[in-house]
Amino acid sequence: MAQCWLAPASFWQRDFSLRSRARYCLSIALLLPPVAEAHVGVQTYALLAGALHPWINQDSALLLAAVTLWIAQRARSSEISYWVANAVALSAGVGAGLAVGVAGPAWLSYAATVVVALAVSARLLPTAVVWRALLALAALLAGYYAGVDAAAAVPSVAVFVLGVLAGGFVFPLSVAVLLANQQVRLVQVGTRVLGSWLAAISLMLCALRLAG
Amino acid sequence: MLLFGWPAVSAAHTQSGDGTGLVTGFLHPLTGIDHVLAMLAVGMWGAQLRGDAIWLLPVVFPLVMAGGAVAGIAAVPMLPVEPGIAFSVIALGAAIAFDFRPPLAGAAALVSVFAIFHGYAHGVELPRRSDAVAYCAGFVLATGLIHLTGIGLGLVTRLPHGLAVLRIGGAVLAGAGLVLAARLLIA
Repeated sequence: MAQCWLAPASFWQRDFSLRSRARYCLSIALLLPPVAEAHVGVQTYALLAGALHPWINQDSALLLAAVTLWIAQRARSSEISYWVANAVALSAGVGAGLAVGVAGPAWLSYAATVVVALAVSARLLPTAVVWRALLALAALLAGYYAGVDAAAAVPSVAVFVLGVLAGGFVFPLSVAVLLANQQVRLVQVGTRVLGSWLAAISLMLCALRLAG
Repeated sequence: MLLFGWPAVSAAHTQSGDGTGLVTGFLHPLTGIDHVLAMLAVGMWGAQLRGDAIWLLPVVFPLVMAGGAVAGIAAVPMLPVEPGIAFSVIALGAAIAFDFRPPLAGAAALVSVFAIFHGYAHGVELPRRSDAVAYCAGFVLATGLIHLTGIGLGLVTRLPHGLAVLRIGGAVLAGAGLVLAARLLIA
């Protein structure tokens, strides 16, 4: 069982009730503000900008949302390899974006979102290799767009990239694991409905971009 | 009678150039009575068919609707849209009223055909100056919520005599569709 120096060993035991855990987390959180407020600066802004970047840009936000849902349909928290593959792909994309520095066409991201979101709505689950390859391509694309922006906009590129990894990877991971562990039929149907909505929105946006 | 008195402008609900994003997109399907009735009918029919249809029809509809919207944006030549939308209300209402139960694929195909007309109308009326992302998200969200409302109404079948109530509701929808079609002919 994983343990952390912040929490006592009993925190991770099943008999440690939810209310007790919440009380414990709250008391820890009360200790945090003075520390958190102390370290605002260029590095913090770069990290924050990176973490927010995939989500405040509409194209990458839609793509990551679709990717998150697709992972949720198949993922089991015990499978770690595709998380690593996605992190590597996202990093490679950011690196490529930094190196090339030329923004790709806006429709491309929407087209990728349509493909992934259609797969979600159809609950299309290809073989593990194909699935991981497609997810890695999506991560590469999202990383590339972030990398292009990073070259021009932030004072500390390395920290920005760390932020992108956190925002574009850790958050979807958390949501996907949360959804994947819900075996309730309503959640599964809701995931497919959300996928169809994302596909519909992205399809129209793709057409608008192509129409100029 | 109420439908005859409904202002003609609300059926057209064009918003050229004045769109402001999410709210405008969200309100767009809600301000067209023909769209509202058809999408309610989709949800009600799905609930009446039960099984996978309860969620499959509302999944298929926005997807195909988006395809229709793309055709509208690209100004692809199309059959007259407004009569198509009015006919969709009549057909879906009649399907509910007569408790028509085709195979799932058939029901999805029928809904898809009607979704093209609805999407085309949305695509043509999409305000070019609005925030496209927010607008599209708004009207897809509104469409989904109207479907959800239709499903909620359709769940009346789980009550005693609920199926009869739902079929009467379908007949009312079909009648409303006829009124809408008649208004188009008069206009």
